[in-house]
Order: sequence, then C-alpha cells, then structure tokens
Amino acid sequence: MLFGRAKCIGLAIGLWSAFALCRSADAAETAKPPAPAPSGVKSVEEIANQKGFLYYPSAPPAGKMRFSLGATYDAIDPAVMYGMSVRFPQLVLDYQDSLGKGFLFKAHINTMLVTNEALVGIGYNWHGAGPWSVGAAVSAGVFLGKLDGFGFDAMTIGAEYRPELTVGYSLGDVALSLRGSLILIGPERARVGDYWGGFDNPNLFTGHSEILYVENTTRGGSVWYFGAGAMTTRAHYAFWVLFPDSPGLYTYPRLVAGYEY
Amino acid sequence: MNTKTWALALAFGAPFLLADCETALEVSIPMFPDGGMLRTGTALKREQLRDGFEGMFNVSKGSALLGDKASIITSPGTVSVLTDKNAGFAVLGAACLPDQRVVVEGYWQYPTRADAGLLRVFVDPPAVAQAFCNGETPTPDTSFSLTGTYGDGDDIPTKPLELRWSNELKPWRDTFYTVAHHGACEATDHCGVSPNSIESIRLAERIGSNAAELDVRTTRDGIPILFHDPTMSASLVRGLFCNGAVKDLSLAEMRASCLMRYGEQIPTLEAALDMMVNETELSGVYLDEKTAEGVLPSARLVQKVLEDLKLRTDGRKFAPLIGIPTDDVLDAWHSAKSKLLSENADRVALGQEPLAIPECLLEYDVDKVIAEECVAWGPTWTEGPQPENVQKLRDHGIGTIFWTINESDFIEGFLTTSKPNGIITARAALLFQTYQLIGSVPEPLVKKDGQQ
Repeated sequence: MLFGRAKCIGLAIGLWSAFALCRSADAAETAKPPAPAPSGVKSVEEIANQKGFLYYPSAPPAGKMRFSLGATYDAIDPAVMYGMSVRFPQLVLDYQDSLGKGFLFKAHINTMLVTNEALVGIGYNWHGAGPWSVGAAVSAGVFLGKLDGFGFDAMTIGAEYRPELTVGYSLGDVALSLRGSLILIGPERARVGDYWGGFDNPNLFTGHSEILYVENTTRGGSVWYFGAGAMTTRAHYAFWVLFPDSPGLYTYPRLVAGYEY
Repeated sequence: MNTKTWALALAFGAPFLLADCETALEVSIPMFPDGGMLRTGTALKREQLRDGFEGMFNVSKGSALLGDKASIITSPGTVSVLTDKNAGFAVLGAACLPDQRVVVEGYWQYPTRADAGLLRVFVDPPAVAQAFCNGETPTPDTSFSLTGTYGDGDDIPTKPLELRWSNELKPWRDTFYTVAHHGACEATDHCGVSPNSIESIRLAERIGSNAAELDVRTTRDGIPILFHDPTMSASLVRGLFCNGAVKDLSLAEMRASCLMRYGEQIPTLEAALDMMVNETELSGVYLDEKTAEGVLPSARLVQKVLEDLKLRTDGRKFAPLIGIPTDDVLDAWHSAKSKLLSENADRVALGQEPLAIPECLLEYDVDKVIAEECVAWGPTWTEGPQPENVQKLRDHGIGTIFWTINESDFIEGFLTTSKPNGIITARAALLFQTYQLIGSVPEPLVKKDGQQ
C-alpha cells in the first residue's frame, strides 16, 4: 500500500514536473513573454491581482471576494458501493475572501443531500512575479450524511479537517493548479433507527486527493474551471451509508467543473 | 499540440493513470517454513478437536493480540481462535508430535488491517496432550491451556501467548447464525480470498461463520453462479478478456476469460452447494437472488440438495434458503414455486414421492414475509434494530437475520435490542465473540402448527 501510494504521488509529481519542464523549455525557446490573452479575455496575472482564483494560488487585495458554483463527480468502484451502479454528482459551493498579504478566508460546501461536507478555513498564497505560485490552507468543519427511505433510516456526523497544498502555474489566460488535500474525519457517530454508535476504526486519516484544476479566464473577470484527479479514500468516505469499516484505501477518479463569480 | 490541448490531456489523463495505482493486492498469509511442526505430527481427529478444544478461554498472556478473552471453535481439520479485537482470528491445525506433545499452529490475522503473523501453542498439561495422542478426547476444564508464542509477519513467533479454558460456549450451532457476507470478508479486506468464492466459504467457517449468504446470478446459458455485481467489474475479477455483463457470458466464456480477484474460478451454485454440504459443517445458506432468472434454477438445485440430504445416514442438516430481495424476484419465486408444486403433483400421480419445496427468506416487507410463509426475514440493518418487527415475526415462528453489520457498536446494539436469530457479517470472529460475551440465545422458533 505504501509503495502504491508513493508511486501515485510520484507519478502525479512526475506528470506535473514533465509538463512544467516542457513549458519552461518552450518558453525559453521562444524567449518571449506569455502570449497575450486571445479574444480579449483577462490574463491570469490580471485576475490574480483582482478577485483572485479559487484554485490557482493568488493574492488579491484585501476585501476581494470570490464565489463559486460547481459540481464534482466521483466514479466510485462498484465493489466499494456494494455493487450499486448509481452515482450522483455533488453540488459544490465555495466562497473566498481575501484578508490581504496573501491570506484568505475560505468556506466550502459540497452536497448531494445524502452526503454533505461544510468547511471553513484560512489559507496563505504566495504568488510571485513568474508563472509559479504556491498556496497552503487548512479548513475544519462537519461531515454529515442522512438518508431516510430506500431501506435506510440512518445518519452519520463527524468533525472534518482538511489541510491542503496547491501549486499553480500560469499559461497566460489559463491557470493550472495541482491541489493535494488530506481528508481527516473524526470523531464520528452514526445512527440507524434509534440506535447510535461509533465506528471500529476511528483513526482520523480518511484519505487524500490530488486534483488538477484548469481555470480559464473570461473577459468579465469571471473564471470557469474544470479538472480531474484521483481520490484515495476509505470506502466509508466514498459511500458512508453502509459504513464499511475497512481502513483500506480505494482510489477513484473525480471530475470537477464550475464557475467562479 | 497547443497549450490548452496539453492542459486538457493532462487533466483527463492523469486521473486514469493514477486510478490504477493502488489496486495491488496486499495479502500475505504467513506460513511456517517447510510446513512447520504439523508436518511431523499426526493430525487430531474431528471429534477430538470439537469436544476437546472448544470453549471460551481467558487470555493470560498475549492480550495485545487477542484481548482478554477469546473463543475457540473447530471445523473439519482446523482449530480457530476468535476475538473481538480488530475482528481478529487465528486459523490453526492440531497434531500429535512424536514426543507426545500436541502442537496447535497456523496463522493469525486482523482482516481489515493487513496485519498477520504466525502462532504456535502446545496443549497443557502434558497429561492432556498424552490423552489426545492416545486417541482419547479429554473434556476441557480449567486446567486445560494452550501455551506458546505468536509473531508478526513471517517471523518465527517469539511473543508469549497463553490461553486458559474458562467455560463452555453458548449454544451456537443451529442456534445463532453468524452468516458470512458473500463469504469471509469484504472486498476491501485483506483475507486473500475473493467474495463468493469456494475458498471464501471455506474460510468463513474457519473464522466463526455457521452459515453463508451468497449472491446468485445466471450466465447466458442459464447456469446459476456466485457473483455479486451485474458486470465483470475490475475490482472483483481479473483477466484480459473478462468484460461485459454476467448475463451476456456463457459459463464456458467466463471460465475461459475470468478469474476472481485472488485467482479463484467463479463458482457455479451447484459446486458451492456441494462443497458446503459435503466439505463443511455449515448449517445453511441464504441465496441472495440478484435476478429473477436465477430463482427457478436455484430452487431446483436446492431441491437436489434436500433430496440428497434425505438419503444420508449421518444426520447432516443443512438449510438452503431462497433469498428474495425485490418484488421482481418475489414474482419469480411465485412462478418457480407453482412449477415445482405442479411437478410434485405429476410425481404423486405417477406414484413417486414429492420433492421438498425450498424455503424462502424475504428481505423487505414484514407482512409479506408472513404472507409468503417464509422462514426468515432479512432486513437491512440501516433501518435500525426494529425490535417490534422482530418480535412480531417471532410470534409467527419466523426468524430474523439482519444484513450486514460489521461494526462492533452496532453488533452489540442489535444483539441486545432485538435478539435476532442471526446477523450477516463480514466480521464473523467479531460477531461470534460478541454473541458469546453479551448475546442471548435466541428462543426456539415455533410455527403456528407447533413445528420448530
């Protein structure tokens, strides 16, 4: 498992590095500044210094806010889902408020009604003169699931903590960001019928994710984004309603898309 | 390739590369080199294991592995130590050595943690070991102990372990059903066997199950097989050409292209029933019919098992139940039952004995369970313990078997709140030990006609 995870992270870093090297070589070869934004859309640099991005680490002036509406879709293995073939996308809401000097207040909700996560946190972004930028954030909140019907009268609730690290690279009018997150949940309680109980493996470590975001600028300063990455989590996080107790980690793809206002 | 194309390719290509990273199987069942000491000894007989070893034991040394108490049960050829600590178990063999000691050795495992190791203990006092070696079966008492060592991984065990017999086990065979959830372990566990495989059923008995729940689907040529998912999902099977829906593949195609996750063949229901009846002491099986098409062929195989059992003279009991999870399957059950009854009428007309009609277990509506005259209700545990419904069915002589509880808090809660007749679980050792420590022996079920 350890080797497998290291291989994954190594592969992700390798892919990212290879891409960055290609870009650097390309930039050196052409020896010219990033191409001007086509069709009049704002450049990454402009957006970064105005309202900022949700994913590309940027340091907008204090008081600048960013609101985002999006969706995620997890292609979870049927073995984790006990053979259930239905997958639902999640609605994702994000809010970001710049506190100045690279510090940010962040709030995040994702929900498909059955599963909900609400987090608030603080982050710090470093965005220098070049295309690279780096950000770190930590959030805390609640993991809440509830389902009545379809053979369920169940809910679960737990505290959630999520440290994150993001590396960004500007391509002129497109920002690429690779974000790694740790997913920590606990303590956690669950109810079935009238009966409440805890879980046998209450270790905080629930999983991690590595997602590559592509943020595209627009003329008006809004941003639309898409991305994809790997979620590596306990089955319990992926599909809490059956409470599988195995601490074994499963990797599944996550697709994301949304719009930043 | 321009920048945006690169970005798109990278964004969508990376996860598919990454998604395959952690599917490596991480199972290592430790073994003593060269077969250990068992190879030099003479295996104890079945009745010596059952009557000489079973019981609740105090763990006087080695509680870090087994907690304070552990149950020992036996099955053909093996002695098993079961604990509620991390749902752990040890599967051991027992043999009389040339020096008249009795060695009990094998491996232990925490199935959810990939932790495992070797374990070797000896029967104490020596007089008891001598009696076993003489072919006798000494009745265990508080002087009986198993003393030795355990270790981690493939290391030769060095940590002290002592289990001292404390008391007899609560009745469990044919009494409280620890039902293996599609075999021994969850797909996310590290037991080294695939769900719904023959090997998984065999392991299930060794880790505390006395019945099994198995998933039934039919192949394109109408043969019932054991498989959970509707398609050949990568997490359950392997094989370069192993793709598509189960119902679209013939058994021959499946056998040619597919192996289960840990390399086993996908079993036919017939082979699984034969193995359970003839090679295990399991009390029954609950066939979770995933499709309506599987009901009639399953019912015919169950009839064959019941007829074979009638011919046996060794008193072997085995209760196969047709599991009904949906109204579609219920409709199929109605037509299958009508057909079997009609065939029986023909047999009677020809002066032949009618064949047994299989019994059913219905998973959902309590009133339908009563109306269909099923022998058991199999509700999902995610609606809670429902003690009123359990009692209502008990009043009708119908048992309740909840599926699928793996968490110790909830196993305790359901055992004490509803007192069911059984629970389906992938944590057989945990359920068995919890039942032994805090469970109540279920009241015998009495049907309205007075039959038990």
